[in-house]
Amino acid sequence: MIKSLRLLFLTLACLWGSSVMAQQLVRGVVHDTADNPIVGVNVVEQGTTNGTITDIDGGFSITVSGTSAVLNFSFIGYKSVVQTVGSNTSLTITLEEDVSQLSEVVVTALGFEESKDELGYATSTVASDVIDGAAESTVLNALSGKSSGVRISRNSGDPGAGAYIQIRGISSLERNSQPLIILDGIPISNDVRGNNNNFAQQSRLNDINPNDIESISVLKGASAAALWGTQALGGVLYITTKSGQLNQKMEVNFKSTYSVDQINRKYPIQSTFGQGTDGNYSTGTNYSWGDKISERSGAADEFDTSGAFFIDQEGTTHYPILTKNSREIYDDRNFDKVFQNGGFLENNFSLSSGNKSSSMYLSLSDLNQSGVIRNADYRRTTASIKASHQLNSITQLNTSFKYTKTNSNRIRRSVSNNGLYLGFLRNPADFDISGYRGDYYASSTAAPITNRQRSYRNPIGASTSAVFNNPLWTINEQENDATVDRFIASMNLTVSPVKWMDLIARIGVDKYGERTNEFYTPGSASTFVSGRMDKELATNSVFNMDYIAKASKAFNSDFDGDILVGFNYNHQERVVDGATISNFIVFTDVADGIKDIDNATPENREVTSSFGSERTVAAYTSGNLSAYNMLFLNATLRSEWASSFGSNSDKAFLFPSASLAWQFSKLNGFQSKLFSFGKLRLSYAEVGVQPGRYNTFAEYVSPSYNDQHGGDLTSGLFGNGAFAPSSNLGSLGLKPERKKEIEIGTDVRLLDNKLSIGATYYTNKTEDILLSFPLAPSRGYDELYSNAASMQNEGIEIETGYNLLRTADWNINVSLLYSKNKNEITNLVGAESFALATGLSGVNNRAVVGQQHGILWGPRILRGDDGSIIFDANGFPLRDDVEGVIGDPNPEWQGSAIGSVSYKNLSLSVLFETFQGADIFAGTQSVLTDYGRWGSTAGEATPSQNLLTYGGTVIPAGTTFRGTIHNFGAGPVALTQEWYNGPGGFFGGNHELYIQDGSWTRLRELTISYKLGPLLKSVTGLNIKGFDVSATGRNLILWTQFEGNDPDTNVSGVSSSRGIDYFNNPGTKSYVFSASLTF
Amino acid sequence: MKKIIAITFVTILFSCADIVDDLNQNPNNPTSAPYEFVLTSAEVGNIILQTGEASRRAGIFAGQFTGIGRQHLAYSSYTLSAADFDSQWRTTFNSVVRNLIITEELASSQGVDGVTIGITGVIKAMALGTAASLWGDIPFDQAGRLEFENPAFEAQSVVYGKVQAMLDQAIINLSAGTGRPPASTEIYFDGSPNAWTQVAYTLKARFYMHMKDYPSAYTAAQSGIGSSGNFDANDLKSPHGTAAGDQNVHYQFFEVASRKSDLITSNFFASIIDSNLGRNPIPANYRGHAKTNETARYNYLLQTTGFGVQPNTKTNGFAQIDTSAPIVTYAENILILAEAGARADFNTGLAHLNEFRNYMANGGYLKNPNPANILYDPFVAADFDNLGIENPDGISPIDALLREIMEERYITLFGQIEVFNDVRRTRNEGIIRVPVVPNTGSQLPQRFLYSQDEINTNSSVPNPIPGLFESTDVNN
Repeated sequence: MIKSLRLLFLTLACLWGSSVMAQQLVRGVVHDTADNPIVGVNVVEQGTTNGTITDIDGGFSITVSGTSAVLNFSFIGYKSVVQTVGSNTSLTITLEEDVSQLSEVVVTALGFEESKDELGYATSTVASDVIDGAAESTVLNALSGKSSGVRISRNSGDPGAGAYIQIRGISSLERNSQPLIILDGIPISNDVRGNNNNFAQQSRLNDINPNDIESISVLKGASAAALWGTQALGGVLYITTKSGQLNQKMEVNFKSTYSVDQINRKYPIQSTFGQGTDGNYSTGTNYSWGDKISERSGAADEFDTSGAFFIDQEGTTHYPILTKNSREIYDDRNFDKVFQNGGFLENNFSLSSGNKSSSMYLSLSDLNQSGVIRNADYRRTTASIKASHQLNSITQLNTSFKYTKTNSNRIRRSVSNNGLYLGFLRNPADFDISGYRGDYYASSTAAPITNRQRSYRNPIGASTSAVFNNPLWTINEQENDATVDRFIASMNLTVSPVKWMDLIARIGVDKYGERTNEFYTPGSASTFVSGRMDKELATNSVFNMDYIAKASKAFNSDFDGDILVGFNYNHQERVVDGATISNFIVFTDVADGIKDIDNATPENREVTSSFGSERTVAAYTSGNLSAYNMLFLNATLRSEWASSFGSNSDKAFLFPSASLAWQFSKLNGFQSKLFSFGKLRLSYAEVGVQPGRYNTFAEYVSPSYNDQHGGDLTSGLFGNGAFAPSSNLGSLGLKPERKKEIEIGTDVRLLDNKLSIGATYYTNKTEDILLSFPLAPSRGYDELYSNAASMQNEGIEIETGYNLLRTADWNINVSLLYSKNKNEITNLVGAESFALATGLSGVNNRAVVGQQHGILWGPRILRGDDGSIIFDANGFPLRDDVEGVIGDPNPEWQGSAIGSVSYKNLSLSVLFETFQGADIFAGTQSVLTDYGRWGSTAGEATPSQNLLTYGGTVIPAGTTFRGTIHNFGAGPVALTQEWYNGPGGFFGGNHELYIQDGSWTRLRELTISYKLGPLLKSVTGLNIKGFDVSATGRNLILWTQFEGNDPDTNVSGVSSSRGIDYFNNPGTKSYVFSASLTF
Repeated sequence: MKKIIAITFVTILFSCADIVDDLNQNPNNPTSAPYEFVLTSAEVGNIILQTGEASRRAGIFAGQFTGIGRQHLAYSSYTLSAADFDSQWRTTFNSVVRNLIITEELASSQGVDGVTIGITGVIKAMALGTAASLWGDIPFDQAGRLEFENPAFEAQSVVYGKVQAMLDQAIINLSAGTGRPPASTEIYFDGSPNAWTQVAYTLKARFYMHMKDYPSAYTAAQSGIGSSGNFDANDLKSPHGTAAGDQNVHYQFFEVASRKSDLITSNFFASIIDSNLGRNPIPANYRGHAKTNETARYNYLLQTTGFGVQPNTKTNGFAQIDTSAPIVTYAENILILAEAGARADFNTGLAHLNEFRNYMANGGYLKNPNPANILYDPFVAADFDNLGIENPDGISPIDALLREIMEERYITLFGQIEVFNDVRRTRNEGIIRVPVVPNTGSQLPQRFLYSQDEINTNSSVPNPIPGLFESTDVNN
């Protein structure tokens, strides 16, 4: 192998060429039909490699071989012009727009530019202005709604939070279905480390400064991505970053963006009834099923001042309440103590320049964000440099280096007694959270017990356990810092020894270290009651090399082709070292800032350390053949080896693809003013995904055994230590998951290219899906990692665009995107269902044969064989002992509508996005209803007939009760606390009752911008190139039936399992203002 | 040129495989371990099985615990679904049974037999017997063995028979005199064959009791724990410490996992032993009298917290951070002798009951009790005669004796799965049974539901699964 690499380098080294002698100098300028100079036009002397590129004023100068020399001027989107030099030493060339070439240039998976019209598969490109216009702090969120078939699911409005990208449905059960991210030819990490339901973790793609991006090519299908084999199951996002231009005068840009973020939806909570149960006030109780606050006397509360009390952090004394008289409601004040207007300030500086052989681009940026939850923050600082140099006439070197540092504090959320919303929303309306920490005195003469937490379940801090955190404790006495240092360096060397061939070497490394520091002040709820600290350092690296030889040949005027062969080497490595301590010896809190690992006895310290690596190598080839400038055929093949298959696998796995584009509009007589362009495309491809690391051996682990609701024994602490076979078995002879996709589509442009329509139908099947196949627990093991399942996706994508008006002053465009995907799990090798990694214990996402991926599964209504509900004696639906499918979180379709209007220097754009027909489990609502805190539980009803409660109590006609009259189908019944504490609520709940419609439509973006440059230039006389100001609203309006949070919320975080709301942190809407100055 | 590229390409094609070889062995975990470490794992798993969630769930069904919050509130009203039992099912077959089978395989490959195989046999029989009592029909021969894709379920009575045979075989192995596991690796008795033999007999007695085979139970118990005269020295109890990962499991549940707000002991249970009649929720239930004072036992077992009466997590408490939790005890063994004895003969039963009271009078299983709070004077036959101290309502003396024994078992076995077995076993014995009433509806739960995970993956699971109120065969 080493030998062959050496050979390759040698080959590259041998191919250095020399330049051609020159005899006559020609200068000139190139402009378009409107007399605007065209920058970057290729000027080549025919039959030679002698050439140059026009500068910023459209000017060029070239020394040619003589008067008979012929110059060829070409530029994408324009018709080429051929001009004999003759005796002219000064040329003025006018290039005409080439309508047939008007189509976009897209970037393929290997980073080569191709005309979109010649591709046999669907792609879409998102340009830098669109990303800028989105005014999002992270790249991913800026892509929302911009490309059909692409779903960007954001889980929360937490600063820096990651998002899940899904193209054309999910194709895998456990392996990553997100697209491969390639940055300027180098695959980079988009890890979401430690994704769980406790923190909104970051997607590593967030590290990229959006201002550096020139364009993003979304390669949706298997054929577009097939050259990346087992890394491209979910498609490819190819990001091209900005670079300087040759012969460009120095351009400096300074851009500032300021955003104000607000919580976009609030949960409807009731403030009519106070803390308590069965209609009576009761201090310390979990419920808000207490008395009616308005019916209290309104006098001051009566306290028991004879015994125990609590003095909080502000010196306020709290006594046990004897009689609750106060009508005070704290909901708004409590809210303001926890939430605020968040926002960010981003400053971005960039500089670019170029001479005739070199160009460079440099940028610095800083984004400083604070969350809508106090103390949540995110700061990202980036530096980037990209340079290109033409070493000689045949050798070009491009290098780039990017550095990012991020720092953030995340607030704990969701399924945790230490989570923010759990403690905040359950808190009764009549409980003031302001005193959250202080000293407890068991009696007036007792010594204080310091640093107790006060919460609504622990109102005078009498217990060590707060049960649920006071939300102020959650934000002030807990922290989870993450600091990331990342650099991405790459080098690209291109040698063109002969005109028809390029030899390319690309080497890149992407390395990050993420340091996390999680800290819980003693007194925190649940298992962190005696203090806890987790420190972790993860180092991840991706090293990638590609060596590509690319040759093209024109056979005759009707046929030409090119061929490419390449070799890819990819090595990934991760080391994670961590230490955890609990039961602090010396009291330490967040504010101390001391993170001493010795602050616990040795048995309460735990260290973890893991190392993992995998390596993939591949050889690949790709060939293009075009015939009659009308048929374009592409075929690729990748042959791949990877370490993760283990030593018993059959090794080389092949991934083929073929695509054909037919521009039928080039048939004689087809083209007209009305029908500008038409293409049919057809493709077939296979891509895959590798097994996870280390799944080919049976392993022994030192196990921990635990109970469902608390209690955990670490076996290593017993005897002389313990080991046991891992319950998760690996298997030898693993194969890649393989997705086979057929795609058929058409691209049509009508009305003089004003109306464009692209439509794609695809169907794919993933076979040999790798999963930790659940084993019957009675066999003694949980899971067997194997190639077991299969699934399929089928869908359509439609993108249309219409240029309504285009004049010198006006430009009006609208476009509509629509996509629909239907997934089906076709085989689970006999298992009835397979639980996906995350979710709640009550409701989780599963794979079930015949259903779509990730359906919601949980306790449901007991039904007869005919589907009819079976009722108990009182008319309430019974709950089935056996769980089943209760909802489907996958949308039936999604779409977006984009409109833009510009008039002279003013422009306005709007983006609506919609997501229809998806279920969501309203877990938060279910709990809050159970607790009597949900808005609707404040309702009272007066029945006109005797009604039974769930427990069988009769509510006589005419008696007003707190609750609702409801008919499940067996006559009206009274839904009261009893019902909600039973199957009608969360705990012991019949979760099918809380499956709701999670469809939404939103005004995703509304941007108004103005180019102030010309005005500023004329007023000040300064030589500025541009001064743009804009205001953007994001998520301004959300239409949805789902209450309380953004229905895009997800308990499982950045995950393909979606559709569960459970005390997730809130989503946000933003008002963003930006100014960009270029000179 | 083309040739060079072609050669390079072909060379690459055929030499790539070595670049990726041998990188997939996980450097973080071993691929095997000596048997004794697997034995330790199985024993830790057994602590979770016998003293963890299953025991509290059983306690709710047996009226000893009341759920007041979240999931446990639902459990208390018997609202449970199959998935609520995944954890206990998995613990049984995965953490315990499978680890024991692996221990046996590894031991045998290391040439170890005798005592070690005896110990694994006792624990395996204990786990599978417990499972049979909770679920009825369960996989037995095929349990914990990967090679069976859909482990077959065997009838509860068949399983009990095989459990007895397994214990008999274990007793033989324990007497082999060889194969004792290395020091400190067996965490209950450090491999003592004598202690394990006594535990095996008490377990035999326990499982005969489940089957209402009282004569066999009596015979087995005679060789059970304490039969060599050292009282509770050979109690099978879980060892615990104060580190986060080895604390008493009840302690972790109530103190660490914040479940204090979810589960309390029932008023019924507390009332039986609460001598503080001002505090006692149902003072008439208090069982103390001239010969009995339960104050010390109450103080050991229970405490009052902000949420109600709960297992005592304080110093010298039943659920203190490092208190050993009882699994198979001398106390149970004597009470088996007492009940099984009484079912044959009044005086035999009474003698054993007094033996137990003598044990308690000397502090019994309590931790550092205050002697002033202890009174367990021996009963005489007249105490069970009409209007005797234990028979105010004039039932037959033998019923009065059995009723006292059942109540004693109900208290002594607090927090153990056995209480649920007793409540179900005596459900039709109206006079002697502990008068536990359902929290809701008219029936007490009769079993655990089969695990949802098992339903999903094993085609041998009975379909439809028996409901919560359907008796297991032995209690029909």
